[in-house]
Amino acid sequence: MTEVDVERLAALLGLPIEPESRAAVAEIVTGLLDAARVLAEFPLPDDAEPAPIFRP
Amino acid sequence: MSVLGEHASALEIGDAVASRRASARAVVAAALDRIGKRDAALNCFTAVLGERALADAERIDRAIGGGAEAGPLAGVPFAVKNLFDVHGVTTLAGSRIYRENPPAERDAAAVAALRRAGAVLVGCLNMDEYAFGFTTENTHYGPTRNPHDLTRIAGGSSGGSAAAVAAGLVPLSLGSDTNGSIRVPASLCGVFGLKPTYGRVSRAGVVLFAGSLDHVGPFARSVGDLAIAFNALQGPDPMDPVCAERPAAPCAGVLERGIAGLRIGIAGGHFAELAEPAALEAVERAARALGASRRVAFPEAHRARFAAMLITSSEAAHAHLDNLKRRAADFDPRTRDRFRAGALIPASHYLRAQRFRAWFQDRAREIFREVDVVLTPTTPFPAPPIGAPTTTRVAGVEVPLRGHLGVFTQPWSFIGLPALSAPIADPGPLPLGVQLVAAPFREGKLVSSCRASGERRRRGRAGGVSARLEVPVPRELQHLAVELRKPLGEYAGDGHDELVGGDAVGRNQSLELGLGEELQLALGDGHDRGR
Repeated sequence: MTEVDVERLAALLGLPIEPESRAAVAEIVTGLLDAARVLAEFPLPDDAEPAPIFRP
Repeated sequence: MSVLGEHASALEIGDAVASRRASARAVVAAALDRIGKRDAALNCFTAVLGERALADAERIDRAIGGGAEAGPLAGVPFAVKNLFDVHGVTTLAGSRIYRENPPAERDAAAVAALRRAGAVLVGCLNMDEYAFGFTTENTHYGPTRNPHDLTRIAGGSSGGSAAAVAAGLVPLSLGSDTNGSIRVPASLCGVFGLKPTYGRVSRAGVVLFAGSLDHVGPFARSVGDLAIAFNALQGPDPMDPVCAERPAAPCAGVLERGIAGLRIGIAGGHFAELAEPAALEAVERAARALGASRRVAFPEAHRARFAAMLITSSEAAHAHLDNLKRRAADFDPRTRDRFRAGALIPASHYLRAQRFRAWFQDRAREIFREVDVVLTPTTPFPAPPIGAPTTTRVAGVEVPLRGHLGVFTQPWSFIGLPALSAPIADPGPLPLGVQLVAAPFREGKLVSSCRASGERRRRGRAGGVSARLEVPVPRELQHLAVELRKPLGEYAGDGHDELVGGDAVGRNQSLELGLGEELQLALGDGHDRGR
């Protein structure tokens, strides 16, 4: 995750991030993506449904 | 009328006020006096409600004098993290932005519940902005300082709630816990903190942080006080869509049980790694005291923590996205970029984390058929200094200092299990907690009261005081401490009767020790030495 990536992703959301903050945000996003990668390495069974339950 | 000391328990106060041995007004005035004298050094309070609290106390005294029945917490001063709505007070949630909001029109459900039980609200407490942190190093309102060492953090995000209780300013407080924000500061400040089962206590009127993980719960200096507060707090509430629809489990009758027959496990793997030796030794000491030796492995606990991080970041960012877009400069610099980063996480990662949550919940359910209570460290180390560097080394590995404080609490809140942090006796110069975790409170049936006879051994002051307490202990705490004998799955129906008298209790359990005494004798009384 680079500062340029942060700028582009944030633009998709309409989220302004000043240039001097992009490196810090990129570092945090990198950490979260590392966490997501470790999570994705675990083979979840197909029947694992998302936890939240909607009760109409 | 007697004068109750600053370390009087909520139960002692409630009993003294109800029997007119002390007036609620005197008790509340004394608490306000302590806050006035000491809080400048601690920075626990963001609002002190002096006149209102005294008026409430006088009303309670008048009611009792007129023969009205006093609530179990009559005249007990309490304070709440400033993300709970308090009628007439602006709910800050640790932020500058919310300072512009109008005052709340009513009390949060949990605040109202304690007031109905007779407790008197004396103020609102400092926290990390929007509950995003484990340290209460709040840039807008200043850091809350640890009563045991004013140069160190109190933990967070409910840091004001833990420190106010540890310092003897109030005997009872409320906080919230998404990833450990009750248990972490409880550990670092040396008090008891309970994160109930997800949905057991209403969050209506509470500013949510990450709604699918948010809980609220009490802090106290004894487990007896924790229990009676929890008793008042629990129950269904249609105003909180995730609140359990099952009825509250108030206690009735007497149940005498000890730890005999209880299956207490010690969590291994993830929960025995990346911690300072003192934290691991605290667990071993607790295990020895409780006669526990069985090691329990929770598979993929490290991934559970990562999933909790992803859910938290995503939900929290979404909750504040509009303000992040419009006025990011008004956020605390300590939270701003973390909120922004959460907004950039793809939805697929969030959804996979929620799917993993269901998987991990199933594994935990299986394990809790084999054990009743699991012990882990609450925090991997004691309170770091305020303003410490961003990383530290633990067991030879560099870790983020602040985020790592939740390494042992996050996997449990991730799946909503009830978890309690109890202070270990004599951990060293700074407090440390041991975490007790149990199966979820599933059926919501009433459990008879438990006799919790506790010899409170107060530390850190000459003479000490003992008090024999009888407190109804709700079922959930019995799960947590030393009560459950049957696997959770066997309580799916009406387990109430079995618990009260039959074989499920265990005929050979003749100990009179209840939850309060067991925990306090085994794990040490709450650290009261902060002044």
